[in-house]
Amino acid sequence: MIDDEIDLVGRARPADPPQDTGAGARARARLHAEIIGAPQTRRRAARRRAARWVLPVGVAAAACTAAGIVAVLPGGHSPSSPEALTTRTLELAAATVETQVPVGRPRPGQWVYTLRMDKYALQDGDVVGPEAMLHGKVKEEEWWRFDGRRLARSLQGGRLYVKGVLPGMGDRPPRRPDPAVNAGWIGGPGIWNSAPKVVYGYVAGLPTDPVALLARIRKDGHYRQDDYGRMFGKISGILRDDRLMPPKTTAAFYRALALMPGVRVAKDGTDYAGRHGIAVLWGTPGTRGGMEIILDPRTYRYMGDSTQAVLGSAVVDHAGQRG
Amino acid sequence: MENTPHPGTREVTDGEAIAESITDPERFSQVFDRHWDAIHRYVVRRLGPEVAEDVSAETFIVAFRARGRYDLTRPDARPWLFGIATNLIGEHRRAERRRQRALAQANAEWTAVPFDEGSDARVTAQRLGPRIAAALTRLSAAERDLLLLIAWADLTYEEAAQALDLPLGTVRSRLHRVRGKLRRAFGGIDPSRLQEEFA
Repeated sequence: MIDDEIDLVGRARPADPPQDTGAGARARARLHAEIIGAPQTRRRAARRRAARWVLPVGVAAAACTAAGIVAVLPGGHSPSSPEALTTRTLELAAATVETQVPVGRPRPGQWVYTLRMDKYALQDGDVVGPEAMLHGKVKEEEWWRFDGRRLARSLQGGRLYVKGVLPGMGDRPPRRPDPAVNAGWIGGPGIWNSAPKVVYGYVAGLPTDPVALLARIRKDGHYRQDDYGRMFGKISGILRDDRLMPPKTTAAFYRALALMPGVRVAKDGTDYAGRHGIAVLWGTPGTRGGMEIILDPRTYRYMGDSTQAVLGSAVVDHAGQRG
Repeated sequence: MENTPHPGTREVTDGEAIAESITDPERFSQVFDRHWDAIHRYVVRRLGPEVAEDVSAETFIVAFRARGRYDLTRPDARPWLFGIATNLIGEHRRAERRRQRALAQANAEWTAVPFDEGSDARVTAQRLGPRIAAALTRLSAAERDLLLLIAWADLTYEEAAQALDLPLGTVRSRLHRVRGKLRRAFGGIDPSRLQEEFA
């Protein structure tokens, strides 16, 4: 006899899973790995490291979850079509980075450290100083104070040069010499606009809905409705410059890329440091107008492109400190 | 009940096992062994067997990480675990919906499933009589979570309230609303005949 509607729904419960498919054993093994991988003391150390370094420990576990989610996402389309591959890969990338630990906003006196492999193509005579001698692959370490006012650099593991940064085009350096600024002053909006605080503030205000994000990028850049090439370039630049981006925003950028006609994904790409990763492509790289973004195949974090590669980053207390 | 103490060999409650697992993480395996079947069965009902393994496994990993926040005065961890499972089912549903939106926009030809129906509804439709399936889709996600914890996971009202972190009064009033919606959806159907169909 059926008492009420809820009981009726109860009687209509779907059939139980087949006995012992090994699911329990596999799940128990996963839990066990979590248990032995995370005893009290080591666990705390891992969290400290994650907070310091932009690359968090525990990404593997997060990737596991995301893979679980995406593996079952709906079929119904041709899974081998390039569009499906692009959407699937970028959604997986988004779902993976989304669960990663945010770096958070640094304190004003802290520095954002980036270790980069960069392509130097300076012509003799264009610049003076140590940079003038360098061509091709250069290991560049950069410390940019979060407030943007000091920029320190060491090239190829050499001496640390600290520069003062002036925000505006016509700003003049202070009359009294500042001994902390041993390599003089640079400035202007071009540099200031990629200062950590400026980028952080801009990115923090971006929507995390991919459609709204794309509309915002289009509006801020005054791009034509269908000028996806320039939007791709802009997104690529933000991903390159921002080492503090909240994971939810990174995920939104990946989803926004998936919405852009003409964006493709290739399984194997190479960044400027020669590391292999997943390539998000616009046009044909190496030809005019071609661009690419290389993502880490495991963590789906930004790695670089054909002219530079981000090898590491951290938030530190002093220029010269590496995390 | 799983936790009825046997005379002489008093069984450790979930609360005690979780308390010990704070310093001795291995003790958490007991919680898994006790509740895996029930959690897994429930998630299979909600999402189908392909997804269920992952979501159920993740339930225990999330629970293990959050064990420091468990209310140790509660001997039975079932409501807590079902609450976590419910959240993960919801997360899965949202992830799928986002992805379907992206897919639909990237590839306009692909519109097999309406955006608002994830695997939860689809599996349900495949496995249930269409009338009950249709009735379930008329409920909000929160109503469906509550109804199915009671109807498919056999939680009591009190346990469902704990699982969803709701006051008991809210559970009662929400169920009252659910009954009304179901009654309207089943309207005119003789329940005893339906029982035959699903037997």
